Amino acid sequence: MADTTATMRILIIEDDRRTAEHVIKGLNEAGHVVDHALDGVTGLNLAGASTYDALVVDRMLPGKDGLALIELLRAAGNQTPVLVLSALADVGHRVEGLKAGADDYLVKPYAFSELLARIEALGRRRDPEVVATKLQVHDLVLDRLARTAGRAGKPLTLQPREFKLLECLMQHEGQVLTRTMLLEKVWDCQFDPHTNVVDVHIARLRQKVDRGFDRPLIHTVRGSGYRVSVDP
Amino acid sequence: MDLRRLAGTTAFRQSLIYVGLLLASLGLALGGVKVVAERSIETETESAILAEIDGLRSIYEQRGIAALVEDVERRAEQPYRGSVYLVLDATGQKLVGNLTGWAGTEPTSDEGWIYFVVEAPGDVKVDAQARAFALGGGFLLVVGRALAAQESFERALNRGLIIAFVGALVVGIAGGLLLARETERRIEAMNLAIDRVRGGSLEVRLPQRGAGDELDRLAGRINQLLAESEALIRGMRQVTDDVAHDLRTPLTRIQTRLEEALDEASGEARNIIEEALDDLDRLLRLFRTVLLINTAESGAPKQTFGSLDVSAIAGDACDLYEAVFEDQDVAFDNRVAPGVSLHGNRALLAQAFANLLDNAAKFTPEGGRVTASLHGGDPIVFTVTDTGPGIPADRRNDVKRRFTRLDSARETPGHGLGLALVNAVARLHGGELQLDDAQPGLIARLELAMDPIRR
Repeated sequence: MADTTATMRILIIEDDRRTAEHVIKGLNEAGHVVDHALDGVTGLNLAGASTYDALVVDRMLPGKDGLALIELLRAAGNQTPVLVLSALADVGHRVEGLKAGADDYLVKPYAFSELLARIEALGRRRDPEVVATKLQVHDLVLDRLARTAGRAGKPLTLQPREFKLLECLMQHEGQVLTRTMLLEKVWDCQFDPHTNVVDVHIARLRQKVDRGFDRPLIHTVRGSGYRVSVDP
Repeated sequence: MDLRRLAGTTAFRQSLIYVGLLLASLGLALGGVKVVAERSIETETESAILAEIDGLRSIYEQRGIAALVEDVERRAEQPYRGSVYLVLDATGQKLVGNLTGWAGTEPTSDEGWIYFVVEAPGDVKVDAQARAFALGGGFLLVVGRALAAQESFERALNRGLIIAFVGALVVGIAGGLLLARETERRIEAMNLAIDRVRGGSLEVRLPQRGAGDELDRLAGRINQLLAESEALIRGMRQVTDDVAHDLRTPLTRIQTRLEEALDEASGEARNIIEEALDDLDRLLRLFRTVLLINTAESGAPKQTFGSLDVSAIAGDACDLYEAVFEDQDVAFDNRVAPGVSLHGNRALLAQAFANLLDNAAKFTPEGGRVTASLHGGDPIVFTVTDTGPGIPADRRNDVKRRFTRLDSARETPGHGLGLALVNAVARLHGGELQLDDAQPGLIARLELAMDPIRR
């Protein structure tokens, strides 16, 4: 995985030392470089002094509230992608966080794999590939303008939602997308669907994309989610 | 305010009864006045007639018939005042008098009074009352009074009575409506307050005027009751909130440690840790759902309600589950009407729609059919009908409560929170969740008010 995902410089602003240590350890293992600030003021100074690929901000910080910090950053013209971590699971809080200028919002407790997937997805946002009109992974091609897809020159018949799902996976080639992320990005759902509905949709997509080919392109990442890549 | 509804109020009906009693007592009083007044006028007339007869008789007895005739003639020639006179001789010939058409002398009452009709000036026929008195020597003296004055007095009295009655009736009904409106306003204000409490605004209290009247006292008692139930409900929510929150921190740490351990582990230990992580995930989800139900029940999300394209939200949920139904070999009928919008919370509504579809997916057997529909109007209705085992009639209310699971559902995954959340979301949106028999299967109707705040 490390070979398909570029190393990121990440600043984590989190007052709980133990949580931070765990996250830093995990991010280091995934090949990223991490700085840590224990409070909002230090965090703001660090974020202003150096260039990061992503910020991870706890919502409730000593010294400065996480959302106020993001607003200050944005007001100063800093466009670094921000992921907010929050113990507040309330339905309105996510909207508040995004309004303040955050790019993603993750409620505690979370699985580390979910956090990692989201941070890596944020890093990709600034990639020029995001605006590409054609996505290609091995012999799988997706044309975003014509809204068609084909594999090895053979067209694929996809439902609009299947197209969106494949587009989302290909856009994040080599990255893991968790079920929750797919629900948010493809169905615009911020809820818990109980049954593994995403698995069913992926299974249907696999039938169309991978069946009859020697090299599968849609991979299941155990305990995490799904990834489109050439290598398993 | 609606007059017909006002007329149906207790206050108005009581005012009507009061007006009725008032009119009855007014009738009794005025009737009494009328009887007494008429009686006294009658007595006065009678004594005037008797006094005149007495005077005329003494003229006759002292000065003879010629003097009587002369006197009566003088009296009869006076301008008409309603007095009638007649003197007849023994043969019945009229000697003098202003009474024409005298018919007979038979008294028409026990006291010797004769009642008849005379012609007053202007060709008006008037009732008259007279007394005949036989003088010595076969002469007959008749003295009477036309009753015109008395009758006009009676007419005036009757008119007065009718005016008094109608006036009292109009004032009474108008007053009744006014009083009813005043009471109705206060009751309506109380009903509104109660509806708001039922809608989740637990802090709302019934308005009191501070007058200490019976409605204020009732409102005071109900407010005490509301305060007590608010304390109970808040206490219960606080406990579940605290439990869920307090347990989340240690559970998060456990999750962190298990994840760290997973990196080091191999073989069987790895499987065990993965299973523990799965269990933990389920537990955390359960807490999330409990907190979500509490949030919906608290009414707090109302502050962030916005206008939503509910057709799109329901459509997304159906789209998400369509693949699941197809996978389970269940026919799925998507009848979501386009263009329906409402005022609400997007995330909670999406979760409620998904929960209903999820239940249908869990309980509909292979080869079954599920229909999901959304209809506009007020209320807006989202319905999911399945061909599963359904819910027995006596358990349909139970399943809307938290942690209720039917014995038949023990084998399927879940915590008995799905419908409790749907119910809480329905109530937050000014509606309700109705469960019915689809024969066979379940019909779940989620009703939502178009604008729950206004409601």
